[in-house]
Amino acid sequence: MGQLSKKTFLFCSFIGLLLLLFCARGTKKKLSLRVVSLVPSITEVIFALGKESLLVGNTIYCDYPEGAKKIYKVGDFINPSLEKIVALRPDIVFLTLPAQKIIQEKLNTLKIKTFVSQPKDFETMLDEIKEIGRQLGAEKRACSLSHFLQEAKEKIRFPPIKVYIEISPQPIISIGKKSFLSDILEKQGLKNIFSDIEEEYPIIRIEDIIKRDPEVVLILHPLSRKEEVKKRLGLEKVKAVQSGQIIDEINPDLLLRPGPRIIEGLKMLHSILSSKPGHEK
Amino acid sequence: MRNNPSLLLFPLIAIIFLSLSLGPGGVRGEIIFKIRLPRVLLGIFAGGVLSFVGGVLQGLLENPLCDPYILGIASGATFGVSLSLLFGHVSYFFIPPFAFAFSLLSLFFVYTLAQVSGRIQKLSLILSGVLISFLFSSLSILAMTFSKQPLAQIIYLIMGNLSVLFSPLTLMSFLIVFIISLILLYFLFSYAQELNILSTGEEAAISVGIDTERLVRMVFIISSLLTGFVVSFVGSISFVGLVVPHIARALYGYDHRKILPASFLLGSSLLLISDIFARTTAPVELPLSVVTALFGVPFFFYRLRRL
Amino acid sequence: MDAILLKELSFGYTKENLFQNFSLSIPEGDFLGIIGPNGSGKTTLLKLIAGLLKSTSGQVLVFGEDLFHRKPKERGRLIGYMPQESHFLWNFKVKEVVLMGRYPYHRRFEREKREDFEIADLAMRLTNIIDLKDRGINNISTGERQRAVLARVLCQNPKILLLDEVTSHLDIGQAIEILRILRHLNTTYKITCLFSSHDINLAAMVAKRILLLAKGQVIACDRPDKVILPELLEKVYSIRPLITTHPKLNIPWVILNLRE
Repeated sequence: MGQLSKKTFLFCSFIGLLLLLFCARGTKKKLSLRVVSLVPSITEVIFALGKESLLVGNTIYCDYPEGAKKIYKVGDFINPSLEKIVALRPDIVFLTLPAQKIIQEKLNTLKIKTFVSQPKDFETMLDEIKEIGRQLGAEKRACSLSHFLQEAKEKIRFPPIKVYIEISPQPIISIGKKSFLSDILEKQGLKNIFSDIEEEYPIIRIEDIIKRDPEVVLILHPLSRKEEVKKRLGLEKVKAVQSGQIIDEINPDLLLRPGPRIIEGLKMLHSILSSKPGHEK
Repeated sequence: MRNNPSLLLFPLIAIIFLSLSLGPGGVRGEIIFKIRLPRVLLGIFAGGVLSFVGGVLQGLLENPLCDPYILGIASGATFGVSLSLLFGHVSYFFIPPFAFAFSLLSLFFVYTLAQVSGRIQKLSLILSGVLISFLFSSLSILAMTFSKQPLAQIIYLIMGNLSVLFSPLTLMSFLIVFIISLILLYFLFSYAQELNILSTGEEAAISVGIDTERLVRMVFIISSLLTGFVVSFVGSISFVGLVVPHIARALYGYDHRKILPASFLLGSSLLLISDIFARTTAPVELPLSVVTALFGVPFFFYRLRRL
Repeated sequence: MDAILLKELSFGYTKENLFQNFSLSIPEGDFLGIIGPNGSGKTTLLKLIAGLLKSTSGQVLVFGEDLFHRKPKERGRLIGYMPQESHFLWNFKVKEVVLMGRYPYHRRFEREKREDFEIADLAMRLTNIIDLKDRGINNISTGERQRAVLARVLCQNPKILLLDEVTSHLDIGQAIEILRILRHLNTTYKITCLFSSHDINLAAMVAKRILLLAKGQVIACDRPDKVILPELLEKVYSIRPLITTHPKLNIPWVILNLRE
């Protein structure tokens, strides 16, 4: 009894395997460019260029604008599902380095075209927007968008206030010279107290904050609120805490994503800083 | 109760089919061969080898809580991964040989440390394994602190996953490693009766005519090599090496001649099932070690209650 | 030829040697009972002969050849060692445990043959555990477990049997049974038996010679009536029991007394 059923099972398995192989030929006519974005900021750019119809997949963190939430999700930021991406048969996949190095290598091996976004400053971001426009057939729109963003940014001048920008409370992480945000803020007049540190997101000690005595604290994460920062041990003597200049109302995505909404973030920051007593516009 | 472990081959084949055909990409040749088939091969390799080695070590060290990582090899490989990512622009394909080199280094350390006046004893092996584990884990964290790569990526690589993609060169090297591993497993299997007797006590083994020192040395080195192979390719997948041999014992008794092949087949099957679960149930791919632990913990709990 | 010849053996667990230039000869077919206080070296001596411990100097000659010049499997075929107690982590079946004793006769990958099963059955019958062959080794009583280990040792078909405190975990019924089996093996199969015991009377019942050991030295090694003497026992144990003769057997019988 055992022998017979073993043989039948093997035979059926073999037939099954053959059937599997035969069904495995997918044919579909391609009508237009198919784009996958693995970077939330690039998703925003694609929508801003009006080319969201080309977007066939993005990550679960791609949440702006509303329409981005409805696009098919291929996974998270660090480890998106390669299978899902390949199944979408994309013509181009937008990603960023160094965080997505692994997925980039995998896509290269499968000979899928990738576009690397790594904006180190505002100008590079504008160049990337123009390049994305070229790739997606929206050159004119990309050009006008980047002009608009450039002009809008120039209009925003900050007073030379010392700011401590917090990305994470534990461990304490701020932004350094290499970061996109630090570059913009410094160029528009603000003083990032850690702009002398090379690293993009340095881990710092609380003594460093106290020593550099910022006038304003900018919280760019959802984990602390103004009141909690005021109570932090060691920060009582700092100017920002004493004068209550702690900003937690700005959505971190507005300033941390290198995309079109950076202007919104900068405007918000500017208006908050201007409305505080004792500073010139 | 089935008495023939080779019958486990059939569920494994069924699971292989399931693994090849299930997935968000549907049933397409490119996806099956380029993406899923490597996962299946890796899953069989990792699940089978880890479970086999776990079974061997539990018998050798007379400790039901042993897993392949007790000898410190995995932490060496992990350190290799962290170190290779320290400098940013390293190719991802370069990582496995780097990791393996460091697992060999930790093997050397454990072996040297475990010598007590020229002899290797079981207890000193476990102790040095734990020591070296701590050493390399700490060094790994140090490397991660200074790394240019984001932490999340390093952790993802270390925690164990089957989503390795192969270039023709790396595929060739993997197949070579797979074949070498099978040979080493077969070699270990030939000592099954010695392991049986050794698991009843070292004195019993010596008095019956087993050169226990040579056996322990050899098993340790081969087990470490095999563990190093697995961790270098897929990271540290937890629980499989610990739980599967116990399942095998529950089904087939204690004779290593049955448990070791059973562990290999069961381990492969279980890991493939975990992988299917990890990549199809949530919008995000779950870390494999999490799924294996989710399966492993209830089983262990059940076994504990029966004790 | 002597079955076992110990030549100037030196060994110690610490810097101080327990055995210093220890020599002893045991003829083939001997039945030697080793008695002595705790720490006198009874277990150590048996382990040295079994090859479980290595002396720092001197030689252990088994049938004329140095113990460690022989291959391990050869030793397994010659010497059977039974420890005081056995713990089994994994619950093997009794028959699986007994069959392990056939290891020295197998090559790599050789499975057990019919001959092995027959010998195992014979060993289990001799030790009276044949009805327990399919039970788990941890599911039987201590005495039965000891007999299973004895059966395993017997499967090695050894010429020399070394048994360490073999009766200390057994009740009197089980102890007598084991000793009967040992005597049968010694007289019928000419197996050289060495055993250690705390119970002098039990030892005297089966042994052909008694070795009285103290602090790693031979106090006496002779027929029971020449060793079990009040002055020797007092020297070694610091008590002076009454020695009489067993009413049924012609051997010395130690009678203990709480009051001197």
